[in-house]
Formats: sequence, structure tokens, C-alpha cells
Amino acid sequence: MNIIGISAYYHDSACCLLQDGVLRAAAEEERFTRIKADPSLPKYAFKYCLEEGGLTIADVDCIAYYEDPRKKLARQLWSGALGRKPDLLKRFEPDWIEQQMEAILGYDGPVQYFDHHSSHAASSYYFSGFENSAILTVDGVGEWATTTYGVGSGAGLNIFEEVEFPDSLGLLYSTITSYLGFGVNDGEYKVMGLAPYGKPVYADKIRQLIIQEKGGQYRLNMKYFGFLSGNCMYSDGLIELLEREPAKEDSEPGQVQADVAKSLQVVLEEVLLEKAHYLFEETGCENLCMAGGVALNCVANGQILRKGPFKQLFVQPAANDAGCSIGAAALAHVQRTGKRPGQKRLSHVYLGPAYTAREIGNFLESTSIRFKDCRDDNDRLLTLTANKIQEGNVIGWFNGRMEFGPRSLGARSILADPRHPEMRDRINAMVKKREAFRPFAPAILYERARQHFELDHCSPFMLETCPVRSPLSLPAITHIDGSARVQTVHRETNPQFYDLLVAFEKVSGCPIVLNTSFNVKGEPIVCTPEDALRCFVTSDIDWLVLGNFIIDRKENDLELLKFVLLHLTPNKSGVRHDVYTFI
Amino acid sequence: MNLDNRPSESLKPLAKELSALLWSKNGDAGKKIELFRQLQPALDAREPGERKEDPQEVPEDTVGIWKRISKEGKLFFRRDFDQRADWLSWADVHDIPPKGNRRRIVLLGESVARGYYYDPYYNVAKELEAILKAQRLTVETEIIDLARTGMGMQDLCRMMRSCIRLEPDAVIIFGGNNWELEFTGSLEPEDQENIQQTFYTHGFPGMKTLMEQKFSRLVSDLLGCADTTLVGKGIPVIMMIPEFNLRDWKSVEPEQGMMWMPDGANEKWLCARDAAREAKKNRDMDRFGVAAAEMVGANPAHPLGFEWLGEFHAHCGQYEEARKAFATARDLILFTGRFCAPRCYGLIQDGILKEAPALGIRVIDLPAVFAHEWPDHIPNRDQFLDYCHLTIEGIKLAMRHAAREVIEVLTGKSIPVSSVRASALFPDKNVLAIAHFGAAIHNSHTGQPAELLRYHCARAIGYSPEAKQPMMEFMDFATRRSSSIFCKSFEKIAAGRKMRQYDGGVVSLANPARRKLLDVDLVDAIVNALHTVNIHLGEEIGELRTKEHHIGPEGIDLLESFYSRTDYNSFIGVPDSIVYGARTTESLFRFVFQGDGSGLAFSITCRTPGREDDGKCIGIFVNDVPGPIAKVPMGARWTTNHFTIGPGQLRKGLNTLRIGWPYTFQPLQPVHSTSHHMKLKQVYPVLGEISALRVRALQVE
Repeated sequence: MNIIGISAYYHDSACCLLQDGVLRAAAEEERFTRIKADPSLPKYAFKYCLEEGGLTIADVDCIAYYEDPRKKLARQLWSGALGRKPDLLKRFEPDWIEQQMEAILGYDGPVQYFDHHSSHAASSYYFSGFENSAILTVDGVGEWATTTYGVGSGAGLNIFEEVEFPDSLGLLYSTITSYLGFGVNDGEYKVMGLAPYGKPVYADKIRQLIIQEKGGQYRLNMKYFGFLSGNCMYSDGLIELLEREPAKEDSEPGQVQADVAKSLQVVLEEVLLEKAHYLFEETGCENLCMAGGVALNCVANGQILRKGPFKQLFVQPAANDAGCSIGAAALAHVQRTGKRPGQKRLSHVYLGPAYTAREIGNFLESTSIRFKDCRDDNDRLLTLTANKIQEGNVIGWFNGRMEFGPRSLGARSILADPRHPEMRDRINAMVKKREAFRPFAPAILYERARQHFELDHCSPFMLETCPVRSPLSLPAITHIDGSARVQTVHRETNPQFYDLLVAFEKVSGCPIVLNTSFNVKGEPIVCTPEDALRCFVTSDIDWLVLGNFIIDRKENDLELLKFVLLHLTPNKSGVRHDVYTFI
Repeated sequence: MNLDNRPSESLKPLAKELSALLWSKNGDAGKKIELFRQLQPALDAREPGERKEDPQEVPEDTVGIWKRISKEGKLFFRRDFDQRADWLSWADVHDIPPKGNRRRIVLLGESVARGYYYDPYYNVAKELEAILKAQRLTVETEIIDLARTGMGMQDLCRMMRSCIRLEPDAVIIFGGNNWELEFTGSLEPEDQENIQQTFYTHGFPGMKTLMEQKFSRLVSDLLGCADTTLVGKGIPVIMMIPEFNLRDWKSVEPEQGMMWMPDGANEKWLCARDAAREAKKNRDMDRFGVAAAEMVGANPAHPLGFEWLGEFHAHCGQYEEARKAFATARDLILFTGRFCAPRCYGLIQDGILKEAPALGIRVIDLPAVFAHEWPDHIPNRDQFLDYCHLTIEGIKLAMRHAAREVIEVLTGKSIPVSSVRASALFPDKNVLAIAHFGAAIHNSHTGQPAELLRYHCARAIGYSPEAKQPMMEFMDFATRRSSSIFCKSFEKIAAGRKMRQYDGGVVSLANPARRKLLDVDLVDAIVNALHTVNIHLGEEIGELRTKEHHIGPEGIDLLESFYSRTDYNSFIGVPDSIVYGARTTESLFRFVFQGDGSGLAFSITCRTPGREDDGKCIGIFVNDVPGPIAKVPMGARWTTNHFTIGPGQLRKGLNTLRIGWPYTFQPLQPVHSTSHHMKLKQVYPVLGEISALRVRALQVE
């Protein structure tokens, strides 16, 4: 049984292949098109999934689509979103999604539609390894639901309560994100990173934005929000309440912004904890699965696990809309077979394309780049790279199959020495070219995790934070509040990355590297060797490992290639960043 | 909206009901309208006052990329640094000084007015200025060159408004090649529906008439703009109508899709086409002419019949008829929604000729000028480097006529063109060489035949052996799989700056993402040209092709652009699909065989959408092997078929796989859809589609 899952037309479109209940491939379209958060139908990701599965279009049993467009249209009509685009109704066609699938993918087979939050819920529960679990999904909005409460047991998944639009924790967070001068659908993560620099002095004011109601319910006080008009996330009411003009876009945040961010984070955690308690009472489950964009708030996730009633927490690594593709595919599988996907707990997300040594070698030979070929001596590659990290260099690491989801986990990563006091500022400024306050995360050999972090379980996806308890000084990955967002690295799932950490520990005594995504600000994470080389050349990365090949910046004069690449590469984004994309 | 600033809960059931109706194929239209009305409080939720930028507004202090600055008490216009990414598309002039004593002629226009391929070393403005200087008029003149590569209709109107800031004494407008996108872009959904309906009821002739009427109004609007902004303010306007390379230009694959015709018509066309091919091969020109006329009669929407008819008439010395036939072939693409090489359509030429004089606009009809200058000759590569960009010969003739008009405007004297000589300006041989090499590249990427590419490459080398370096560098990066911009040969060509004439010589040479071509014909043409100066790279290129594109046991995807495409032409407004669609009866794929092993194994997943016929098959052919090496039954559903080709039927190096799609008549089924893709499929049926086409090497046993 070959099921393709698709999420598209909103933001972060993606495609996956579930083959006989096993996830074989998944990728976001943005990685192929190089358009950030690309919302278009994921044709390249689709093509990749078929190739990875050894399939043709004739072998696809069905496409599972991640939301119900009819319900979504009803919400858009009610909320007035279409009032801004009146010609949409004139152009409306009932089967336009199938038409697009036929026109772009060539697919004319069955399409099954599943609700957005059901897709989120399924993307987490069916890949959690739990036999039963409570399920909490929280995002901006799907069709109507913004928050849902559910329970999974065996193959069954039941959502028993939801909060409806416009009452939305995700939109609350996005509104403050916009107020703080960051892009919506893009800057929420930055707000989370800014929060530890602040004090919750605005918490009482933020609490006025949301009214907790009984059970799983809450309401937003809409007088502070402007997103229904489509022009601005916040209203003048919010500006009056906070007694501050909104920050200018991309301005350097000051103490006030940090305090607002912290206050927001505190209130979000309060609400989520309360709702988690409610869910626990309703379900009696020890396990909790989470998904939806708000589940990417790993600080809140850490609080839920430590202070909440659940013993175990699984957050699907692609908790955003891209991950809905795998949820929809799982739901289709259950519907068709009556069984849950034959997947134990998702142990890795290396589900994207890989490139052979021959492909990479041919590519490098066509360039003017001087490189080392380590195809016959992997140990040498690892030792050299470990030494380079230890010497304070920044490493671009391109290895194996690409990750699925927003985190880089040792396949498309930038690595550095976490002990280096200036490393964070250097990578923020010169490599990623992003805001100075943004923290970095560590990757550590799983066996060493307890010695350095308050962490007693696997954390392969960097989706929770925990206190740093290391005998080593780790300024580059320790956030201002003493926390870190840890990735535990396991030999079974990424042997090359694991061996690199072993090699680094051998030369330095430190089993931890700084691990951040291999991209610069405004661009998707790299996918192909060309993307990686482009990022390397145009940023301040010192050393690039491309599969079995090494490129040392010191051995190359890259100015001309840099000029050519910068000349020809405009930044593109697939979504607006001033308001949430409802249409 | 209530005080809580959210729509009323009571509207939710209405919204859900309306959504259900919209999703239903047979929704009650009256009920939909009623529900819309009731939802108005929600639909009117937007805030007022959002100012929409008027595309016609032009910032007060700019003219094109030049921004007004004050220097030593005088007002100059200087190139705006913030727009430096666009500088290469305009004249390489940093400052436009304030107007002095000289009479100022402003030149507006497109790439043809830039002297594309020669600019900045030689161009239209320089030629005109030199001609006027040599005339020793009583008044001194200066030409302000505001032509821009890629200028469209709206841009032209904006330039007409802004160029007044330069205080021109006359304005020359040399353009009309780039107006197609705005024509097509002007069609509202209602227009497209109208066109569709007209096609159903009156076929291609009706559709053509309707579209011509619509587009002609846009030409009138542009002339009206010239009248209002320039003529009406006392500034004389000279409009130069571009000509087209009628003789050499060949229609390309997107243009050759077979429009739906009533039963029997396309079958007749196909028979006539085959007969014409055969006749041409046998050099039986009489039979060729008859067959070409039959093609035109059977399918008047297909350019190939008109092209061949033009060839026939030219062969017979009937140049007027030949011009008409070629011009018709050129114009047919306007009605098909494809995007190929820019051109000045007949309806634009006619519109200007008919309406401009009444508005006091002087017109230079280049088609008529060329016909008069060369009555026994159809415009060809002697006058054009490609579809519309002029050679030195073409520029000089055009500017002699422009100068004649300018002299009359400035002095009141009417003089014969024969007394206006071309200037002594001539670009040096290196510039000429690169111009022809650039033309070879551009002709290749717009789908022109190998013979024309060989001509331009030979001319390039013939003018100057300096061309050989960029040619060798081009061959290298064109042949590699890597994106051109990463190749060291590309770095060399960019650093060498020898290709500056070709749109700056960097961006223009980079391949679009995921669409790199193998450029086989062009690379082979370069090899041939280099051969004449004793550089023998055929073997080296063959080895490089094999290294980069060899087929191993893991296989390659023949739908990749290297193997499935030979140009960058495309359809407008059709979603970019991963499915290969064939609208002609033949699809060609190239692949490289390294000459070892047991041969190659292919798999093809294909269908003939909406068509089944037990009596016909999709034929698969390789190289010149007579007869199909495989046959796949027609079928509307996707099926995967496998076949092998033994080494005896393959050549070492490049091979061609040809897929022959059977044509069958399908009755026209009106489509009630706003989807452009679906409408296009109705008008231009897809004969075959390929979702996957892979080949792998068979191992030696």
C-alpha cells in the first residue's frame, strides 16, 4: 500500500510516502525550490518521494490531503478573509485541488481529505510508539480548530474537544511576534529565544489578552487583535495596553521587547499547563503527544514535561504544517487497513534525499574548488574535522539523507565548538547573519547526556529544553537562563555524526558540538551539494564536509565564486510576514 | 461585527452552508447569492483606506534608472545606485546632463533599440547620433538613449511621461516586440471564458478575430498615451515599427502543438505534412508547395504550413506572398498562450500604421522599408542576429530612416533617404565576434535549427579568434551536470568579461534553476567552428559528455531538462508540471551511451489522456533504426512499460530516443472550469504524457 501525504497552499508545503505503513520519505518543498516556506503544491517533493520508494505514479494508491478545504472555506467566509479578495468566489471551483494535482503532478487517482488538526494529531500519535496517549494539538488555525484535545488508543484516534477560531494560542503568539518586529510564521521562534533575556513584567497585561474558560476552552479578547482585518495582527488596543509603539521590523530588540517576550512565554506556559492538566483528567493517559506549530515551542514543552501530569511526552519533530502530510498519510492508512501504521516510535527524521560520492565528486571536479577526497579514509575525515572544530572553526556538515522538519540534526548542520566564548556571536553575525540574541543548541552523544544536562531520556529531535549541568564551560550553547535545547545523537540512526562526536571527544574531551541549521537567514536549510556549497561560499563557514569530501576555505580563493553566487541569488519567501496567511 | 470585534456566531451556519454549496457541483446559484448577501457583514470586514499603488505613477525625480540630482546649481539625472541590478538593461551612461543648446532627441524602446548584442560598444543611439552629426545640420543634436532591454507597454507609457523631464525636442519610440505578455495579461477571467466559448462555437477563426479586437484596443491605448503625454504637449513623436526575421525564424515546439480542429482536419494536416517532408527531401518543390497549401487549408492555426508555404513562394521568387505567409506563421502564437521569442505582431504594425498618423505621430514602417530596400529578398540573418535584433546592416538602414524623420522635424526640410548616409561607425571585430556568439546562444535557447547556430559560430570565429576562449569555456560548463554558475569555466567567462555584450555576460549565461540544457546542437556548432582555427575538441567534449551523463546501473531520469528539452520556451500561465506533456506527434530525448555493457534498460510510465484506441500504439524509436524498437498500447491510465535496447542499436556518445504519439480525433467537450490548464488542454489537446522515463545500464553477464 503506497500512500502519499500532502500539505500545501498555506505555508510549509510538504510531501511524504508511507509505504505499507512505514515512512519511507518526506521532504518540504521549500528545500527544492529554495523559496522559504513555499506554499505551492509540493511537486518536487512528490517526485522525490516516488523515486525514493522506487515507485511510479501508477503505484500510488491514494493521496492523503492534510485539511478539509470545504470546512476551511466556511471559516474564511465567516471570518471575512475572503472579503479582501472578492474575486476568489467568482473563480472558485469545487475540485480545484484535484485539478491542480492532475495538472501539476499528473495524478488523477483517489484523494482523501482529513481535518487539519486530525492530521497534526495523527502525525504525532501514530509515530510516538505509544499504545495509547493523550493528544494535544495547538497552532494558528486549521479549518476552524486552533486547539484540539484527543486520545489515541491502538489504531483509533478520537478528538473530543476543540477550540475554534479566532480563539487561538498560535495567533496570540504570532500577534506578539509581529508587535515585537518579527515576521509572522517565521519569527515566533526568535521570540522564544528572546524571552530568557526578559522579565515577566508585562505578564498581567498579556493575561488580559486571553480569557481562560472551563475545560479546554479559552477566548481571546479580540479588541487587542487585528488579524481578522487581514492588515495587521494587532490592534491599537494592544499598543495602548502595552503602552509602547510596536517595534520596527528587524530592529534590534531592547529590554522592553525582551520583557514582553518573556511575559508572553510565561502566559503561554501557564495556559498550556492548565490545558495539559485538563487533558490528563479527561483521558487518564500517562503519555502525551503534541503537534501543531505551537508545539515547536520547546521551552513550553520542557515545562509541560517537568511540571505537568504526564510521564512521557512525544512531540513530532515536524510539528508544523509540513508534518501534517505524514499525519494525513497515517490516517489514510488506518482508514484503508484498519491498522495503525507499522511504525515504532519515530527514531529519526532522515527522510529526505541523499547524494552519492560520485555525484558529489563530479560536482566538485567541475568547480574551481580545491578539496580533499576522503572516500577511502573516513577516519581521516572525522579526525581532521574534529580537529578543526577544536581549533575554533565553523564547519558546514552535509551528510546522508536530509532531515524532515525545521531542525537540523546532523545531516544538514553547521557545527562548532560549544566551549568557545565568542562562537555564538560569530556564527550569528558572520555565518547565519541573524540577530545576535539567538541561542544555539547542542548535539551530544546520547551516552554522555546525563553528565552534562538535566536530561534522563532520549531527545533526538531538539524539541525540549533542559538545564545545563556540565562540568565544562559551554557558553556557545547555554542560553542566558542556563538552559539548552538538546539533541541526543545515537549511533543506530546517524553513525557518521555519532562518530564525529566521538572523534571530537577524543581530541577535546568534550562530547558536545554546537549544532545549528545549515542555512543563512531568510533561506531554507540546504538540500543539495550545490546549496551547501553556495551557503559555504557566501558565509563565514571555515570548513565544509560534503559527504566524503572536505573543502577548506584557507586553501581556496572564493571571491570570484562568491561574487557570481551573490549576483545571481535573490532571496525569496513564499509567504507574507506581516500578517498570518489565511488564504 | 459586534463589540468583541469578531463576526457574529449566528453567521457560522450560513458560512458553512455557503461553503457546502460552493463545493457542490450543482449548487443552487440563487441560494449562493442570497447567502453571500447575508454574509456581507463578514465579507465587508476589511479596513478601508488601503492605498493601492497606481502602476502608472512615476516618482517625480526619476527617468528610468536615472535620478535627479543637483550639482553645481544644475539639475542632472544620474544613475540610481539602488537600481544597479538593472543598469545592464539600459544605456551605459552615468549622467544625463541638463539640456544645453543642442536639440535633444530622446530614444525610447526595447532591446531592439538597444542594439542588443553590440551594446554598449555600438548601438542604435550611437549610430543615429553619428549619422546626424555627419549631416552637418544647422542645429546640433544629441541623442538621449532611454531604451531598455525588456521594456513592455506599461513601462513604455511610464517612460513617455517621465522623459518630458529631459526636455526633448523629439521622441523616437522603437518598440512593439515585447507587448505580448501584456496582451495576454490583460485578459480577465470573463475574457478567457468568452474566448473559450467563441472557440466552441466559431472555432479558431472566431477566436482569432475576438482576440485581435481585444488586443488592438491596447495598441490604441498606447498610441493614446503617446498623444496625451507627448504630441499633445507639442513634442513630435516618431514611431518605428520593428520588423522580424521572417526568413530564418522557425516555429518551435510549443508553437507547433496541434490546435483542436473538426473531425478529419488534423489527419489531413498530418498527411499533408508527411507529403511535404517527403517532397522537400526529394527536392520536388512543386509538390512541396501543394502539400504546404494543403496543410494551411486543413489547420490554419498551425505555423508550420505557413512557414513551408513561405519557403515555397520564396523559392519561386514570389516575395510578397512569401512575406505574407511567414508573417502569418509568426503571428499565430499570439492566440495560443505560449511564450516564445518576442515579435512585433501584424496587428500591432497595422494598428500603428492606421491610427498613429491621425494623432500626428510620424511612422517609420521598417517592414516596408526592408521590403523596399530588398525587393527580391525576405529579411533574414543578414539583417537579423535572431528573431528581431538587428545586425549592423539592419541598424544602419533603420537609423538612416530615423535620421531623415528627425531632420524633417527639426528643420522642416524633407530630404530623401538616399541623401542620408550611414555613419562610419563600425564595432571592432572582437565585438562582432561576440555578437555572433551571443546570437548563437540565444538562438539555441529559443529553439532555432542547428544550421543557424553553425552559421553564427562560424561568423564569430571568422571575425576574431578572440571568440574562441569564451566559446571553449561555454562548451565546458554547458556540458556539465552542475549548475553553470558553479563551474570553473563559468568563473573564467565571468571574470574575463568578454561576454559583456550578452546582457552583461554573467546572468545571461547562467541556466535557470532545474532547467539546464545539454545544448548539444550549440556545442557541436562550436566544435565545428573551432575546428576551422585548428582547435579540435570534438573528442574531448564527447568524453566530457560521457563522464557527466553516463548511464550506470543506478540509472538516470530522462525527464531531466538535459535530456528532454532543447530550449527555454514555455506556456504562459500553465502551472509548471513535473509531467512531460506532448502536444505534437513526436517527442525527442537525448542520452549518452558510453559504449560498454549489454545495452540499456528503459522504463516509461505514460498515458494518452482521454484517448484509447486498440488499433494504435505509441511507438518508440532509437536513432535511425527503422521501425519501432518498442510499442506501448494507447491508454488513458498511467501504465509502466519496460524495454531494452541492445548495444548494436546504440551509438557511442549521443543517442536519440523518439516517441511517436498517435493522433486520434476526440470530439470537443466544453470545459466548465476557470483553470487555464484545462482550457488549454481543450484547445491544444495533449497527445501523450510521461510521468517517468528512466534508463539504466544493463550489466555484462
